[in-house]
Amino acid sequence: MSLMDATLREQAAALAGGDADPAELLDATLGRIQDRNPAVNAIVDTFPEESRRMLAEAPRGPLFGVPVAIKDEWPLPWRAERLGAAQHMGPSPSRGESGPYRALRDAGAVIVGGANMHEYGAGSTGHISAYGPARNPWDTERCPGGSSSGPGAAFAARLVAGAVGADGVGSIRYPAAYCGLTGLKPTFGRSTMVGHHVAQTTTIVSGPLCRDAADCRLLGGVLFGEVLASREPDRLRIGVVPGELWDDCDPEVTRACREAVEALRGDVGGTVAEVDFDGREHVLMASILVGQTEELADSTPKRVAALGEEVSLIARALLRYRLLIPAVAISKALRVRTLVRRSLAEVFEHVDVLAWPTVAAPAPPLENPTVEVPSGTYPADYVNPRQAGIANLAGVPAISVPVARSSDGLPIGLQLLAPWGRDELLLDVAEALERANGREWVDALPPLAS
Amino acid sequence: MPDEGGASATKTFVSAGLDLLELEAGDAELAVIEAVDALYRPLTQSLIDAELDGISPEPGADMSHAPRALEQR
Repeated sequence: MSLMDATLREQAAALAGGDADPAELLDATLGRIQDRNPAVNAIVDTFPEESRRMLAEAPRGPLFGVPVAIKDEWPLPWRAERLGAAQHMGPSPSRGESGPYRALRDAGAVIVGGANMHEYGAGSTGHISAYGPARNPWDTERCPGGSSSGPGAAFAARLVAGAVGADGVGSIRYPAAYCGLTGLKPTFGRSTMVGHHVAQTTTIVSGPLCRDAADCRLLGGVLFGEVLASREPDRLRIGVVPGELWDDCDPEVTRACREAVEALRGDVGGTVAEVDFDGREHVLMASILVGQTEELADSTPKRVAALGEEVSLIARALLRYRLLIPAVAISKALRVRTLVRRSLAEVFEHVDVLAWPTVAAPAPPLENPTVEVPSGTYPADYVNPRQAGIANLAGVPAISVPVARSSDGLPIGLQLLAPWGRDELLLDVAEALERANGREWVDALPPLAS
Repeated sequence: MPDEGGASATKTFVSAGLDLLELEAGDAELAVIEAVDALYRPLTQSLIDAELDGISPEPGADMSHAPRALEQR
């Protein structure tokens, strides 16, 4: 097996032990990006000279010499972020040392590419970007998930063994579910956010997208600036929430996720119990409103009007629509946030983790990103925040773990949520789930990478 | 989906709102806004109508931790 197909930790161990040459790995990775990326459009920029400079100056940290990709949401010293957009409102982004850049650099990692993303981070599909859509390596006519579309597709196509994304309303977990990888949305505030363009955010976090939980532990620890210890989970109390989070999903998704929960319980022991939290009916709207209005201070009618046709029609329309959101709705959304946080805290006194499908249906077509669920056919962007938004609204950590493939051969992801600060528990549980499934889904390769 | 009256009210709301902001929108942009509004308006209205008086505030809320009152309990 090529070292490029190894896990992040295997690459790190081989380089640290002198069993592989980091310059050779870098060249091989750049070569693979050149060969394989045109099919998935995951990497939108490479900068070999800067990558080689990072390697030459790399300290012997936990990721010494390991190539990684980073979402186009983070500034680098040699490259300003573009947010997948052709034009920006307000001041243009500038180059700089973002927190994830510094964390990667100080860990010895080598950034090999800027990764595609859904335009302005405002979509769960990845089908809109100034660079053109990223494509799902499991089926290149399907959405890779967004907004961290490039990090997801880059890992799934095995261009890199790990990538850094960002998650404001599920943007790490959607590509993880659609592309069959593991994506951790950390507890708010635990991972570095220095240099992010939404400096005042209370919802967005940086986080890792990798093959499995152990790699997320390694890359996540770098972003957290601390070692994330592991522990064997024992007699886990798993909470499942009745209603639309489970029932209004593609039946294949519901079935696969229920089987995964049972497999997990069978592996670690414990219980599966129904629990519920208050404010659930408002979570979708509240998470969208809280997330989207954090950026509203940068918006003026003049700036919106100045956006030209190189910006997508839907973004031009949505940026206008945002200016019309009633203040009372935003205020109520914040009240719902309080309600949900208090209720979740009570729920977590009775269960260790919550579980439900990460997305309601497998990756939709790029040409028509709608999904069919029992209640009807909807844009994926409408249904997805219902599944993922609560973790951002409340601040709790969440992880998406691949647990099956659909009859169309598309990945299915199970989402797990834990109390504030218990990111390590999520990783422990995800590892138990991998073990329960014989690592079948985390080690699966899409046709494009086989 | 809203009825015709709802769709008409949306058109009026959007047009008047954008006019007040002196922000132009083409037919294609308006069509997208109306489609988005048709999806999200019921949820937004439900949120606006919600009576949430009994929820005690969370002063100094810190999203990285559980709500303070519960932590202190």
